[in-house]
Amino acid sequence: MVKVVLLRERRILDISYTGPIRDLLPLVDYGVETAVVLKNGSPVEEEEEVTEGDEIKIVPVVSGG
Amino acid sequence: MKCKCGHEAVYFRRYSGQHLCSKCFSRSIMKKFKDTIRTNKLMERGDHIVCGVSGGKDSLVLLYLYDKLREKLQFELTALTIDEGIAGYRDLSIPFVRKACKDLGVDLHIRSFKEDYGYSLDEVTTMKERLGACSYCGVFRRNILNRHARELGADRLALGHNLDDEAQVILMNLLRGDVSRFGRTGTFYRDVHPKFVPRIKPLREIPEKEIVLYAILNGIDFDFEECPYAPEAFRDDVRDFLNEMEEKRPGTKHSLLKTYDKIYPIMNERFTPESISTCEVCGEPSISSLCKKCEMLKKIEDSLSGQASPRI
Repeated sequence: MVKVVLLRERRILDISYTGPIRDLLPLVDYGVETAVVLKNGSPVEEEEEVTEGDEIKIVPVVSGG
Repeated sequence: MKCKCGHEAVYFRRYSGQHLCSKCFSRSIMKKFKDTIRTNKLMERGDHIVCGVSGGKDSLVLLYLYDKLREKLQFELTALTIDEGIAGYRDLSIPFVRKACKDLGVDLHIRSFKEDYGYSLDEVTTMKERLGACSYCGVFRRNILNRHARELGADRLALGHNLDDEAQVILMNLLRGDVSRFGRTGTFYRDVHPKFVPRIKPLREIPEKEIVLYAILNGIDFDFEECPYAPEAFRDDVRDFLNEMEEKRPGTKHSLLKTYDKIYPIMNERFTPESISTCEVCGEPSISSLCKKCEMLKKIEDSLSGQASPRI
């Protein structure tokens, strides 16, 4: 399982997923242009692979206004 | 992937094909900020820069970059925060501003709609017949920022608009056929009234996503909430469209801004009035004898005083 922390939504999801971050994003309604992704606490490129036990934090790009 | 310096990359800048490590990425943002200032002559040594800071990522990154620039260039830096009176939003973002200003040693001035106009934005939205909240907020915010920046002795009022903001506004004005506004999104402003403090946008070439990443990599704490009044169908559509295009064709947002900047001088020359007059009520710059802010305030006063519950 991968733990996905959605900061804006204040939700934590456990998702069964392995593969690049790029393809994980649409599963939680985000995209490359709309999220900055931290893997185990550090920013990573979207091609980075997600594996069992990782924690993925989604920081929304759009805020303020 | 590795950055060209050999360190692990944290970001792939798709529009330029670069893989960047944390250090090279942050350096590139500082460089873009400085280049935008230099190329567009946005400030001079010794200027007093008043930076509009909301507590969101854009304005805090802007303040942070200006603070770093102080190591190289001598100028005065002040933060100005406008409290529109949006419960559950602005009251939560202001502590981020206070903390940043304390950490960086920047003077902070906070002004509010309530104090200046007698009504908070939340109160304005209780009117029975009204425009969208953003219409009041935009007019009031522009007025209050300009006036207080001027009173603080600002040479320039710096705002945190990023590339996405600019690209969205350009496309929105184009799609709406709003030609006069279309000529007002550029890097420079003609001095049409002595009471106008020139507004500058040193982050306008930096994508919103890179601002967020810069804040994270540099330990800048920001409020990532979205204004409760912000969801606006038209802007959301334009934003989605631009993001979709950017994903398919990286560089779309930059191209749009570049195209705009090339035609901007012509638009500005053609559609900006040579000079504008002064509001007879408040003395601020205005196109007609009564400025938009005073016109709105009058309607608000008429409406809300009529709506108020009778006093015993």
